[in-house]
Amino acid sequence: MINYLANPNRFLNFIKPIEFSLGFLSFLFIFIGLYLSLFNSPEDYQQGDTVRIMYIHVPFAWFASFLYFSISIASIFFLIWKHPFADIIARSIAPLGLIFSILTILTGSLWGKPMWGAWWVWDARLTSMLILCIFYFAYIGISNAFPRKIDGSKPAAILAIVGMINLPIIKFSVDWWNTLHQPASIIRFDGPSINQEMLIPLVLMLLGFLFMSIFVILINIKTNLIFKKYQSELIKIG
Amino acid sequence: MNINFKNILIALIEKEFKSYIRSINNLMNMIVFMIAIIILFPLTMGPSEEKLTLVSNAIVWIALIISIIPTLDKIYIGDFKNGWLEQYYFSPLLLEIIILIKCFVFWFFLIIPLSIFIPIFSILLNIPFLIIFWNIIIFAIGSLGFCLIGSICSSLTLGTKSNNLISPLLILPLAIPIFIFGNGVVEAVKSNYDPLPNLYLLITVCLILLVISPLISAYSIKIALTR
Amino acid sequence: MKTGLQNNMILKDISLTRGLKIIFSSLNIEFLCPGLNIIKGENGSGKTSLLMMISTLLQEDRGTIIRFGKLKKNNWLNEHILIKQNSSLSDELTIEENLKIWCGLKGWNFNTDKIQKNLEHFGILKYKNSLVSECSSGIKKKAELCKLNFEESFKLKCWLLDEPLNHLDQNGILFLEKIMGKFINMNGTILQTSHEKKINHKNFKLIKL
Repeated sequence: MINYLANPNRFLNFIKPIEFSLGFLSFLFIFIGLYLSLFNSPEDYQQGDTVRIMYIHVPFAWFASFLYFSISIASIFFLIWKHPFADIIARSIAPLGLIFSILTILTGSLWGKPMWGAWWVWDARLTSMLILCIFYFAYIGISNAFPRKIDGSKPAAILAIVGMINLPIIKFSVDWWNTLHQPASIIRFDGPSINQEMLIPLVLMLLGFLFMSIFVILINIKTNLIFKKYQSELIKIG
Repeated sequence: MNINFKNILIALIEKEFKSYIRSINNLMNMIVFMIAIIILFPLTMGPSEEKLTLVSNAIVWIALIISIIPTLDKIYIGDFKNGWLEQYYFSPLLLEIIILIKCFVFWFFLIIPLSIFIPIFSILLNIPFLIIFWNIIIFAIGSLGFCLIGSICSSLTLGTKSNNLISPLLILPLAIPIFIFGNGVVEAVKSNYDPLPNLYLLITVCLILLVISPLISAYSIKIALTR
Repeated sequence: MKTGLQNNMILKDISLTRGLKIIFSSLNIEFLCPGLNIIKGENGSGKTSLLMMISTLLQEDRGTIIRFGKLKKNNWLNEHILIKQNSSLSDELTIEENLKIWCGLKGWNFNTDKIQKNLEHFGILKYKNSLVSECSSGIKKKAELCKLNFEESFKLKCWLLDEPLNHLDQNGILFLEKIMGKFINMNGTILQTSHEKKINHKNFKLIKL
């Protein structure tokens, strides 16, 4: 399956029919999720209405880390099997991941101001998220820093793998250190500790963001492939 | 053909030592930069003793780190441009070991001399003697780790259009464990706890880097050379 | 010294791309071993890339390069010298130090006498204590070519010379040809790129790219 899709032309043919449905699904899920979370979910007994930021903050944060993980996996594939398609995938994921990590920090500080009384505190979770953001910046910077763009692939891949040590730190920072940030409440050994009525819109939002990420990444991959084709055509012409 | 490995080591150390001595203005730049930072802090904060004693230790550290970074991300760029990295690559000794030695020489001849300035600046900022002593120990250990991180970052950015921007951006997040554990030692000393656990953690980080950094740097240097 | 290994250097079906640009596609060359191989071609035809590829500084995309039978990569790195077009001398060191450290890095035994005699052969002994950054490009080139004139260099298998005659004066060219002849007589292989017409050596193979 992976081998089959690794050919750019087959890949473009494969995604043509599913592209629209992915976009539609993401729109649908995010729309319903937003409606439920904004109008049809209970207020938190401590936090009141501000808890509704959670419905976008959590998906942003999850996908910021998850997309970085995907970049690292694609980079490992690229470094070991040297398949240029893995590099294109990694490059296509990076901008979306950067936007998600920035939005995580922004929504987080919007949430933090009324709750903790500060836009920003230097605790472990927040700092490690900031570092993730820096790694995204560095990844994009290094992959475009070379006179020939393709030369940046391998250094960027190495960087992505080096940066992977940050991911477990993000995940477990709230358990390892005493922080202001609340501990994990969805992925736990003893099941989610969150109210059912809050969980449903959150899951809907997560699904919507999943489809949206795949949709945007597919479009990015398509753009990169077409651009590469265009460049090689240019060189053939001379 | 018999290969004399002792000659390789001597040649390597001689080359690095001589090129650092000949470009002594690097070291001078670092020192001038450090002095500038140290002077700027009391001037911009106001010279009141209470404020300064709170942050004095941090000021010394900031001065050291900020002045090292510009030199640190240029460990390989000179050798890369005039073709010596290729000679290292063609040498019978493993590139990883050559890089390890290069980092050691860099650390020993360019970074360790800076530790002379720690007591001087610390006295200027009224830091107690015990903390100065620990600061020097932390600096000696932590700066080795810092150099190894710098080696990774500068080897990754070899051949870029402008490497000034990316590698400082890279060095800081990777060096955070060193800052945390180094600070842990000083905090423990300040509040009369046992500083050794944090020191051991710092040493552990440096030992891990000692293994990982030459591998990654050699790999990315090979990539940069065979481009 | 050279017994036990096949004496051949063959490129089979090589293709090389740099970035998106295709430099070679299915290139087949058999070099004259031992002997002088002169690689000719227009600017941008990939002469330098060919030498870099043979010395493993560029990675071929497809095909095989047979370097003296099945020589392992690490052994190959110690069995050849690559002299690039622009000098690879450190600007901060003097010419003598450069050669001394270069010999050391190769793991050879050297002494100051040997290096000074070597410099004298090329007629640049009086520049031995001047920094490389102060030297003219002809002197740099000569210092670079001094690397070929060590005892150990003649025992190697292969020299890869990229435009060795650039910047050289008449004496330099004559001396270079002399040591090239000596190396070939000692069973060595030379791959030389050049855009000059006249070649004085009797026995050579011309390769056009």
